[in-house]
Formats: sequence, structure tokens, C-alpha cells
Amino acid sequence: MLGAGIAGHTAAAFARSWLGRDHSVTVVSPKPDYNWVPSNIWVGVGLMKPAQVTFPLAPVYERAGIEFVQAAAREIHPEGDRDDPTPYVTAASANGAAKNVPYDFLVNATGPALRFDKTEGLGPESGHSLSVCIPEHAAQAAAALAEEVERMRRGERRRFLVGVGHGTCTCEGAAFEYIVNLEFELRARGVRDRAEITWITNEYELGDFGMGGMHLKRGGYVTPSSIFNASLFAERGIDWITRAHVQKVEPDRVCYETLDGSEGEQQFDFAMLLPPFSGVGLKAFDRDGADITGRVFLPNDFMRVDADYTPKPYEEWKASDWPRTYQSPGYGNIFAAGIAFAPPHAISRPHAAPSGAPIAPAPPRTGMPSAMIGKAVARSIVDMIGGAEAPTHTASMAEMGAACVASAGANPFTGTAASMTVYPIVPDYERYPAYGRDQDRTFGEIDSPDTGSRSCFTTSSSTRRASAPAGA
Amino acid sequence: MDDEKTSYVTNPTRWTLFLRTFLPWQLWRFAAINLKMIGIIRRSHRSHTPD
Repeated sequence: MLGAGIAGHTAAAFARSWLGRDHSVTVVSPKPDYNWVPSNIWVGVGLMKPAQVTFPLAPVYERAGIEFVQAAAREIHPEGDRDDPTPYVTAASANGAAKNVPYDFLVNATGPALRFDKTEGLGPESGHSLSVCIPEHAAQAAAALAEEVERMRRGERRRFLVGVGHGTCTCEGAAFEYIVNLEFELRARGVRDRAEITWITNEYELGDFGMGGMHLKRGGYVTPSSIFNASLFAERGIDWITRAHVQKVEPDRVCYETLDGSEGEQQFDFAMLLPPFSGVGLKAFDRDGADITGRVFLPNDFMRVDADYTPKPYEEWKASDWPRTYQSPGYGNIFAAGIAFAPPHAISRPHAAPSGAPIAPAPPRTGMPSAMIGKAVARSIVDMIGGAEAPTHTASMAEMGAACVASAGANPFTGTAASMTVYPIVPDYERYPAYGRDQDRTFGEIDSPDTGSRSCFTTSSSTRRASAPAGA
Repeated sequence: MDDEKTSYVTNPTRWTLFLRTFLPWQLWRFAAINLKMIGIIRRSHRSHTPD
């Protein structure tokens, strides 16, 4: 298993559990710790410490009988080399030493590379924005938030900007969770009235979340998730900018273009902007040492699997385009799980600005889908070791659901939550012609105490009558 | 937030706001949402065999 995130760790744990002791399971991962990434949101607002969302892998794997190699996978040699046909992976440890790890079956669960470099000035390391992608970034965001709170307690007004830092980002759901938590924390710390909070996103409409949005049955209507999301933001006094591609992040502002071709600036004192993702940049070589990376991976460095990668217009996208077994088409003993597999296309409708810049979310593959894919891949491998000729289990994102609870405030009585589920994640318009999803299994709900920002909203509503255009 | 944007947004009624803090209703919704989610998760975990 390359990677010890949700997909890799799940696959390793199941494979170890299902295989006899005469087989070995090895995890190759550059970091010594497991990180429960969804909880980085709470690290980013200071509700949890990095140590509470991580644990050391080595002792866990030692107890489980899983070999752990702390190194970053760099190359896959699926045909071995001229001297030995045994496939192997070359991995580099922190001190740069290379190690070859042989395998019979390989799962690429390396997750994403965080491409802060795609937008000038983006990111906490060499840019001007914060992130919650890893615990270290999230802790940095929490420290910056604490500093902003102190300034507001001294009477200053501060501007917060949260969202995505490029037109092709994914994981809008994570940024959404962060902005809801940020707003909650500012209220809890008594400084909400001195904060302006703005959401910036590449979504065509709020509530798209990279899944093309969803439709929910509420109050006798089937309502798009944009209504649900806008209501939640308005109730909390959060402003929003949609259809935006952030071009540049400066110390106090972002410059962005939108789908209609206009350009804008948004000033901030605190910006948490997620980066776009790519694969981690693994290379592949045949037995003669020739580079076959283009056969094994797509140009975005995600691994080719059993998806239909034929380019086609949005109208022709099908649920069956999505992979089911996650087996590499070129090498039957290689699989990709979680974010590492290359999706056949987006889920959200593609859009581009007049400049040509694509402005549409990439499809999310995090969390629950990653774990389910990891489990299905492990089952297939175990069965193939047992004699099956082909993968025996599938986990298509067009046949699985996902559940998400965006909770803010670590208290059941004062906290707030928005819960939502979709089934399936990838809409299947052949099975569910109206909306692509099972309406009984796709739902959303907001459960929260009074946010206290309703008075501001009510004032806004009363001014509409004077300013509403004729016919509105 | 600009007025034009907020004026076209769905606003919760007082009854909806009341229900969000009404413990019996919240306990019911907690149970209902959890059961629904468990159902979806179980359905997603169903073993599929390739065609």
C-alpha cells in the first residue's frame, strides 16, 4: 500500500485481517503519523490540537503485523527490471536514501499533491493564505485566528475570506465546514460583530460541492442545495462570491476572475483558501527502464484505472464512465484507491471563463468513498491471491452514497450542525432520470441554535421591497 | 452582505428556529438522521461483483 491515509490505511487493515500470516502487507508512507483529515477543520479553529487528530503508525502496524516503511514512493517498476522480473516500488526516505520495495499486488493510495504553486501567492509556506489540509497548516490557521480575535477584542474590524484558491479546486465541502466553524467561533468568542466573512468559490452555484449540487425534498418542494446553502450563509451573515478563479493572492487581497469575464479583488486580513490537487507525481518504468508514466497515469498525475476516459461533452457523461474495480488497465496487479485514482471527468458541469480558465470544481473523492474503495480493492486482491482471475469487488462512486455532518462547536446544546447525504455520489440519470439521485436517500438538514445574526438579515429583507426590480 | 443578495434568500421561520432548539424534536431528528445515514452506509457497503 502506497500511502497511509483513509484509503491506504483501510486497505492495509482489511488486507491484513483477511490474509493469512504467510502473506505480508507493507505500507509505504512518507509521514510517521496517521491523520484523521476531516478533524483538521477543528484544529484550524483551535478546538483541537494536532496531536488529537494524529497517531503514530509504527506501533499500530507493528501490533497488526503490517510492515511499515516510512518513505515517499517515487517510482513504480511494474515489470521489475532486466535482472529480476519481480515488480517493485522505489521509495525515498527523509534522508534521501532510496529503497526498493517488491510487491505482488500494489495499491496506490498516495492521495493528492497540494498544488499551492498553481496560484501565485497561495498557501501558508510561500504565500499569503492559510490552509487546513494538514495538521501543521491547520495549527497555523488556528494561531492566526487567535491573533485576529485579539485584534477584534481591541476594537478593530477584520475581514475573513474562506474558500478555494483556484478555479479547478475540489473539496469545497471542507472549506464550507471551515467557514461555518470560523463564524461559530467568532460568535463564541464575542467578536462576531467586528468580522466580515466572505466565501469565495469556483462553484457555479452555492452548494455544488463538486457533486453538481443536489436536490432535497423540503416543505413540499424539491429544492436545489444552492437554496439550502445560501440560507445557511445569509442567516450567519456570510457573504459569497461564486464562479470565481483566484488568479493571485497578495498579502491583503485576492485577485480573481469570474465566468462572465469580469475581474475583481477581495481584501482580507485572514484567508483560508484550499489549493487545487494533482497526483503526487509517481513515475513508472518498464523492465528496460523506459518511462511509461503516460501509460499508467493521466497528465494530472492521477492513476488510470478501469474508467472510461474517452473525452466527451457533459451531456454524454454517464454513471458507467466511473471506475468500479480501480484496477490499472495495463497491470492487473496494480490498483488505485481514494484521491489517487483518475476520475473520468468532473461531476459538476464544466465551465470556463472567456480567458479560457476552467472554473468548475473537480470531483471530491475524500473520506467515505476513499474508505469504501480501499476496502473493495483489498477484498479483490485477497480473492485474487486466493485464485480469482479478476477483481471480485467493486465500489463505484455512482453506486455508493456519502454522508457529511458539518458540525461547529464541540457541545451538543450550543453547537450547530448541517447534515447531508447523497445517494449516489455520482448522479445516475439512467436510474434516476429526474435528478440523478435517489430522492429518499438524498437529504439535508440544518440543526442549530439561534445564530443571532437574523436581525441583520431581517433588515436586509425589509429593504428589498424598495430595491427589487420590477417583476421580481 | 449586500441587500440584493440576501433579499432573495430563503429565511427560516420562527417555528423552524424554535424546532432547532426544542430538545424532543432534536432527539427525534438525531435518531432519524442517524438511522437514515446508517442505511445509506450499509447500502453503499453492499458487496458488488463486477459484471
